[in-house]
Amino acid sequence: MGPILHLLTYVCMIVFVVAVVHKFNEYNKMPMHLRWELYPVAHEGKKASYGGSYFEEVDWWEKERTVDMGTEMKQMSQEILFLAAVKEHNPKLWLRTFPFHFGMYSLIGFLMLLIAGALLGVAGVDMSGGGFGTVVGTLTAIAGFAGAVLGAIGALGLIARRLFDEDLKDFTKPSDIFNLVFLLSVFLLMAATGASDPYFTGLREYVQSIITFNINYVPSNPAAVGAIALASLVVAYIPLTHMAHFVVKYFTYHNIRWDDRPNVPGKDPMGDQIAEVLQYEITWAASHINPNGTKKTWAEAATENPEELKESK
Amino acid sequence: MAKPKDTKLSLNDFGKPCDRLAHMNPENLMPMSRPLDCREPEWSPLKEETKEKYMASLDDTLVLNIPRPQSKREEQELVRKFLSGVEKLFQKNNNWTFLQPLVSTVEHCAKCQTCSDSCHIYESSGKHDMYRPTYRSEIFRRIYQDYIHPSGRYHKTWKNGGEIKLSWLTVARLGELSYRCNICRRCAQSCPIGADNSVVAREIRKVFSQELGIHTVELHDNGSMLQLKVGYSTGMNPEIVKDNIEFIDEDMSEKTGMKLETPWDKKGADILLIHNAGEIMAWPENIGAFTAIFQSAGLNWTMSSEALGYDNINYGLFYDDVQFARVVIKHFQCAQKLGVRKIVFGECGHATKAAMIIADRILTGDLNIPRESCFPLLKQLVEGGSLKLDPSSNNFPVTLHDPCNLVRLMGIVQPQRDVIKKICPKFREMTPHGVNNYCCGGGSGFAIHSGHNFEEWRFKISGRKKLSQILNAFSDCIEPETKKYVCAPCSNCKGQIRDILGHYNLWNDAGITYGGLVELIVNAMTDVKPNYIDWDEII
Repeated sequence: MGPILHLLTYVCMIVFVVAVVHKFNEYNKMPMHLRWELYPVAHEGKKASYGGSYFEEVDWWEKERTVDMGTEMKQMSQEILFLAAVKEHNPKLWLRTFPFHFGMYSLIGFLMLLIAGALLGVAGVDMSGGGFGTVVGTLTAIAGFAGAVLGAIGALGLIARRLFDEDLKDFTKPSDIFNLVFLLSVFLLMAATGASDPYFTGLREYVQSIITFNINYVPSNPAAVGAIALASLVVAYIPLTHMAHFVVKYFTYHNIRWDDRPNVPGKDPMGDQIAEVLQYEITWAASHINPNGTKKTWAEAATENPEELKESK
Repeated sequence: MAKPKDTKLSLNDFGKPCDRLAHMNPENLMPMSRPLDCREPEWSPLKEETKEKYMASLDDTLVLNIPRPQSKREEQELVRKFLSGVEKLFQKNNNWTFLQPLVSTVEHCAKCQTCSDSCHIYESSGKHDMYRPTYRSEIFRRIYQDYIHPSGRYHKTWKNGGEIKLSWLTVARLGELSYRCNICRRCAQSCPIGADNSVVAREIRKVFSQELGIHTVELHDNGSMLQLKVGYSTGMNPEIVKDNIEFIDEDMSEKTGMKLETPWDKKGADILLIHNAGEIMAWPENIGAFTAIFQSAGLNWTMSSEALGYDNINYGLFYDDVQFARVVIKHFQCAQKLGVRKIVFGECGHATKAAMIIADRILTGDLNIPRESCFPLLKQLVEGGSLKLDPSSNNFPVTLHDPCNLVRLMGIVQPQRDVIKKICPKFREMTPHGVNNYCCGGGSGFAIHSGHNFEEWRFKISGRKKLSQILNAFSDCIEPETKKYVCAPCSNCKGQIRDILGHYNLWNDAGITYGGLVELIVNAMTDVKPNYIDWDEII
């Protein structure tokens, strides 16, 4: 039992890392796209408060461009931690999705605390002997319960909404329900584990066994075994689905919505990248682009006269 | 409150053969305030011969005019070409331009419907399911996942919620549905993930144009093609344009009492001013106002008489990346020949965004010429004392429309407000405004589309929210005796607002007219004849 459980956890951890790196690389390797920003752009400093940009200045290209990472970090943290955009634009959804996401964040914190506790255990610190070990143990218990309860409430709310809300029903796929039920079962098993082991000692010892490769260890609490197995599978599963938006959101915000880097006239900082994409060959077949099916690059297509193409057809 | 039954439409019904898939019942449309707090009339029906000739079974109107296939082979060919185009959208060589925005949306939109409530078209229609930003995207996504994506065939129901029946009708309806979005990107602004369902509408248009050669006549044949051939999308060549501007100079000289003279082809000028040349025919007072302001301020400026150099329109922005690039390169070649220090774009939102934002990653080297919107410059002139101004000349209620392309999509929010606050004592904002504004309903080229009964759709559906905002902004003085001005500093928006105000007779019934920003500036200038904005001339 122990080796199988450990093997599952190790494999799922590897799948998670590989899938996340793959997803990141997939987007990161995409070619430069045309500018498609959307205001407010968070790093525009004071202008961000009303959605302004450097284009509000006469001769903007002669002025030094300031990028305020403070306002960007502030907005990013509000967005990640509190789902600010959902709260603003869809408060009904926020009541369900915020506990769901915050539950997951709490469980990530819980995992970090379990790792901290496991390392303290390896170092020989007594987790129930008062002092730092007890603080970590108490925080672990709080994070674990909070994560399980909030996550379960959120997941139940989201499942109900997907199944019964007239606006969502038609757009809901079997996989959407499966994903939520999958996560709900992890939250519930985590709560069940905590109910019989409030300081999650079994889970901490399991994490310690993962770190020390003590693969024969099995928690005595069956709920903990179930939680470990399902949580491992969820960790591997998430980056393989559209729930990988935690990776993609980096690109939708930084590379699209907030990417206002100018190709400053006279300096042309993107000249090489532009030259590269303009050499890509296109195969669009409409008569005003490629009536004869000949190979051509973007640069050639963009400098052709479509009237002459008509004549050559 | 439960949705009316006739605003519901399942995704699985999209390919269902029927005479009309969705009807926007006037009873369900978003209610309006006084004096338009009454029921809308029924839609003018499409002609029978139109329905026989084109796929016209989406809703109550038609704009793309996709011919009905005449044989099974033609049906299959339409589907085959469409799939071929969709595949190209996901290839970096064919679609580096929008690959990342498209893929991130198709793969990660959670269909949470947060964006629906941000969409003016969805809201105005009485929340009809078909006009959700997610509806068209979901049809597109399922087609892509089921028929293009390598893993699609193995888990159609599991991952996609059911197979979309792919027929020529599904394809043609999807093409038509891509022209029920203004691409104002208000939906994207509200998306927590950063998905952008409006980009899907634009990409579908691209498949039809770039692969199937199907586009609207207004954007393509009479738009970008004519512009590339003659120089201007109305067909006016450089000589005719120069004659017209000369006439405008004379006319506006008389009106202002100044001796106005547009400088042409001045090598090495500080500024090349490029108007939306639609103003020449529709709003010559806008062209004249720019001349009066630039001349009074003593700017070193010029216009170009070379083909395309006098017209900043770039309709490729709305439907075709190749046409977009062709036009923008011509614009900058004109500026390059004159050796100007910078290009300033007149009051035209899409053209300003096209040249400043979208072209920013196309133009390099000598073609990468500095350019800016006219608003910061106008602010500098108004605040810097170059112009003598008396705000009391504009002592009437004024509200400001925020063109999406300039405001939400470029972040030019404050300069035009600073100008208007300085010269219009009775200025009031719309709610909401700035980057949270609503589209005028003419965005993505709709303002120039009126074929069949599409104009009615622009009035009843896409322009409804903006009109509601205008009426609300003037609710304290809605009686026709108080003359009011909607400042719409964008040619496309101005055309749409002109058409809506005219359709609902709001000059006569509510005293509301419209115009640009520069007209208000000249109206406040003390060294020109009074009444540049002449209320008596408004019909």
